[in-house]
Amino acid sequence: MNPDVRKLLDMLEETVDGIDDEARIKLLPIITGFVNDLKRDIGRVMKLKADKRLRDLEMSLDLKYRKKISNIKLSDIPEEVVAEIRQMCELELASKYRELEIQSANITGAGEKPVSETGPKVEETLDDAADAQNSSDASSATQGQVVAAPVEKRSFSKVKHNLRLCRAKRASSESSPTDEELPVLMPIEPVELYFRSQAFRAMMEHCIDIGKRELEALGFLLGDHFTHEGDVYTVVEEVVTSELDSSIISVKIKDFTPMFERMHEIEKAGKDFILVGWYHSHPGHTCFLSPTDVDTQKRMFRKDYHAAVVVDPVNSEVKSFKLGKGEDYREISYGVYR
Amino acid sequence: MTIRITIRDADTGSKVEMDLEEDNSIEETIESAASYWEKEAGAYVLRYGKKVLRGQTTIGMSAIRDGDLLELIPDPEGGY
Ligand SMILES: [Zn+2]
Repeated sequence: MNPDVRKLLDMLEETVDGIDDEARIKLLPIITGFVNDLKRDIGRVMKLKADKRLRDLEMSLDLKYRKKISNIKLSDIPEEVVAEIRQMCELELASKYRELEIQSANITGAGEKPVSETGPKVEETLDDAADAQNSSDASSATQGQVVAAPVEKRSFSKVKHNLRLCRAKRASSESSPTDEELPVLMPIEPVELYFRSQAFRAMMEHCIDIGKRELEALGFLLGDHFTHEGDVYTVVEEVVTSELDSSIISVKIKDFTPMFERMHEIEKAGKDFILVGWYHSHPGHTCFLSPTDVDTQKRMFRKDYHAAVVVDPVNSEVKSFKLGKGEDYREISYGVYR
Repeated sequence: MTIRITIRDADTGSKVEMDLEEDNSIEETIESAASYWEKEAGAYVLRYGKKVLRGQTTIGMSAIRDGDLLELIPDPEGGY
C-alpha cells in the first residue's frame, strides 16, 4: 500500500474516533455514493460488465469498505471532515483498484506486460488483456499463468492462485506489502439490485427521518428488471412512500393518496415503471426479514426480480433480499449508480 | 351498462381487460383481477390515476369510464 494512503487511513481512524450514530448515518450515503461513482468510472475502463469475475472482486472491495465505514464512531462531522474522509477513502480505493487492475492483467493473460500508472494506459493494457484472453481461450496456458479456461468457467481456486502469483511478484518488489495490505477476496454473488443514487438517497432519508421518531418506514421500489446471461438484475429508478401506520416494530400504509399522486406524476412524465420491490426499516433492530416481512414477500413480491430492502438507520445498515429457492430468503448484493 | 376497463398488475406490468357492470363493486373488481393473477384479494387496492379505490363503492358511483386504466397495487406489511 502507498505509505501516503496508509498515513491518511491512520489519520482517518484518529479523526473519526468518537462519531455518534446520527453522524454515521449521514456519512454512510456520502461514502456509498462516491464509492459507486468510482466504481462506475473505473468499471468503464476495466470493462467490468464483460468480466463477471472481476465484478465479484470489485464487490468484495465495496463490502470491505462498507464494513470499515460502518465501524466508524464520532460525535459530529463538520463538512470539512466529511470532505477529508471522502478524499482519503478515494485515494485508498484508487490504490485498491490499481491492485485489481494488476490482477486483472495477470488473470487474463497479460501479466507479463507492464501495468501503466495512468487511466488511459490502463485501458490500453486491459484491451491487450482482453485480446490475450481471447487468444488464450483458443490455445493453451502461458508459462507462469493460470489461463486455461474462459473467464466464466474459471474457478475461485484459480483466481486465488493468480492472486498468489501477484503477491509473489509484489513481495519481490521494493514495497514488500504485508499480508494485511494484500487484497482480500471473498467468493460472493454478483450485484443483483441497482439503485439510482437519488432513489437510494430518498429511501435512506425517509428511513432516517422516521427512525428519529423510533418508527418504521415503508415504501415501494419502482423500476425495471433485466436478464443478462441468465442472471436477473433489478433496477430501482424511484422510491415512493405514503402516509404510514407505523410503530417501532411494524408498518403499513395508512393512506395511499400521497403515494398515488407521486406515481401519477411519474406516469405523466412518461416513465413506465413496475414495482420491483419494497423497502422498510428496522430502527435499531438490524437488517433481516422477519416472519411478517417474509409473508409479505411471498404474497406480493414473488417474482425473481422482486427485492426487499431493509434499512436500520440507527446502526447505519442496509441489506437487500430476495426470496430464496427452498429457504425463506437470501441476502443479495446491491449497488448505487448515478 | 357494461364498460370495458384495463387493469395493470403493478408488480409485473401485465394487463388484463375486464367487462364491468355499473353495480359491480370495487371489491369485486379487485377480487377478479387478483384471482386472475393468482393473488390474495385482501392485500390489494386499485389505483385510478391519483385516486385510491377500495371497498364497496360501485363502478357506477365511481368516476371510472369505458376504456380507463386501473392499477392493482399491493398493500404490504413490514414488521420486526
Ligand atoms: Zn421487517
